[in-house]
Amino acid sequence: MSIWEKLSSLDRRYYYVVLILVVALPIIKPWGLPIRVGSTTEDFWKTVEAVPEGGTIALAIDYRSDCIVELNPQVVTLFRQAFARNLKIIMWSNVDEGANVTEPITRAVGNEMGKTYGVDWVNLGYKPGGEVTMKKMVDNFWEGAAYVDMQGTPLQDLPIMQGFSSLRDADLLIDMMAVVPSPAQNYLKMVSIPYGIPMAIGTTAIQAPTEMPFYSSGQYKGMLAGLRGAAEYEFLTRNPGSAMMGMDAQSAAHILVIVLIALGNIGHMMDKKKRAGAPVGGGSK
Amino acid sequence: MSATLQIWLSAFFTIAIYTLVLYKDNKVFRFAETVMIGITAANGIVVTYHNYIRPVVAVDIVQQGKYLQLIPILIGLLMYTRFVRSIAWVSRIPMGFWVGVGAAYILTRNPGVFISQITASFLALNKLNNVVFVVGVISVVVYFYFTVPIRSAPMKGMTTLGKAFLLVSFGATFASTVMSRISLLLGRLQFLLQDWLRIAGV
Repeated sequence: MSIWEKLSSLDRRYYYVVLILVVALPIIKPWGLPIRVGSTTEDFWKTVEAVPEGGTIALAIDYRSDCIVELNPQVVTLFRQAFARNLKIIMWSNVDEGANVTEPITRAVGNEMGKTYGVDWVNLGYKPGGEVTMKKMVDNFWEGAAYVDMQGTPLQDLPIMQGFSSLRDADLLIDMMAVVPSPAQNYLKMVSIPYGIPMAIGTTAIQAPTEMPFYSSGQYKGMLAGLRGAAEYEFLTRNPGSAMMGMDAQSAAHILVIVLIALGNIGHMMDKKKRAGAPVGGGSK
Repeated sequence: MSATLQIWLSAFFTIAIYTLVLYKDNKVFRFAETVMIGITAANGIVVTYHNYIRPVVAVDIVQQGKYLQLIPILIGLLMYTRFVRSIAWVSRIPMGFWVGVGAAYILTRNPGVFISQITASFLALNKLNNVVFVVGVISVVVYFYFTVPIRSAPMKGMTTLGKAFLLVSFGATFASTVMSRISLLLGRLQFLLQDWLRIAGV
């Protein structure tokens, strides 16, 4: 049995164990590989920087707990950049788990930077209804948000909500999303394009190719793509966090995947060559 | 719930789920999977009720007397007639309403996005990237041109080129998928090694 045949018949669980080791080692002992900031991330950063001081960012959190690795660092860094410039953030979720997964991390950043909940930022919780709710938030934001924040506090008791009666009052709309169908594309249709509100997104690597045309066309002013986008954003804002720490492991895993794909293809070609060379009828007499 | 108990529970469920790929289908995995589905469903119901339905009914209908909002609620409730065979046809009313609204929505809202996409493909051909982009758009559009059979050599060449562009695009999508899947593993390993076992720095 050749080495290629042995590799192809190996129990796939061995490959899983190797992958786990390759990902785990850089977590235990980071390598510190360099990070180069791409144009999508730089544009995202510039878009946030362009919001006038004291302005408001409307932030939709549209991902569940399965995507916290890629998107939580994006949200944390956005909060740091926004708070450093005294911007206000009004956030809600079109996905049932979204508000819950971001509540502890955003509160931690707020407390760390001396910001006050209800004054500098607010988490309005889960607001179902998709496009209908988006449209409602443009016509009457309070009605669209069902008049309460995540804890059930009436919006009239929150200073940040005074004077914010429509999504049109936002200086920037950001959607951090990882669900299908894309809520970000719906925000484009319902809010950003009709009312001329600049929009940017953060998403997972798996959804980045789907959203990329909207960035290329200028409909999204910036885009954070996956853990790499989060790491670039952390690097750009000088806020090293879990994404930058994870990039070594991500890079190591990519090298392993490339090696395995190459080995798989070479093995396949060798097998094909061997079959082509074998005599018809199953072997010699 | 104390933080320690929360971490141990998370660690247990993470490992329980991974037993499927590292071992085989087993009762621990099925237990973890069932708990996850149950919690997700329950969470969805609870947050929808507390964060949306209750405040909307309390403010809009009870306080402000917007009784017209009862109409969509009643239309929505008609969906449940599916459970009674003799009047199951009634559930088509909300479905028809929903399909009509959906079609109108697409017809009115999509052109804005679509036209911006088309205008964004009109690029000056003074950069290699722009040339590749424009050639890619045209060749892929030709590839999906099914109205008449494509027999002439230049058009056949364009469809082949379009196919090549599509394959590159699929490759990029697959690579992005790998990247996301690795991120999921990375997140769980960061949790196990940093928060649970504490053998890696935070």
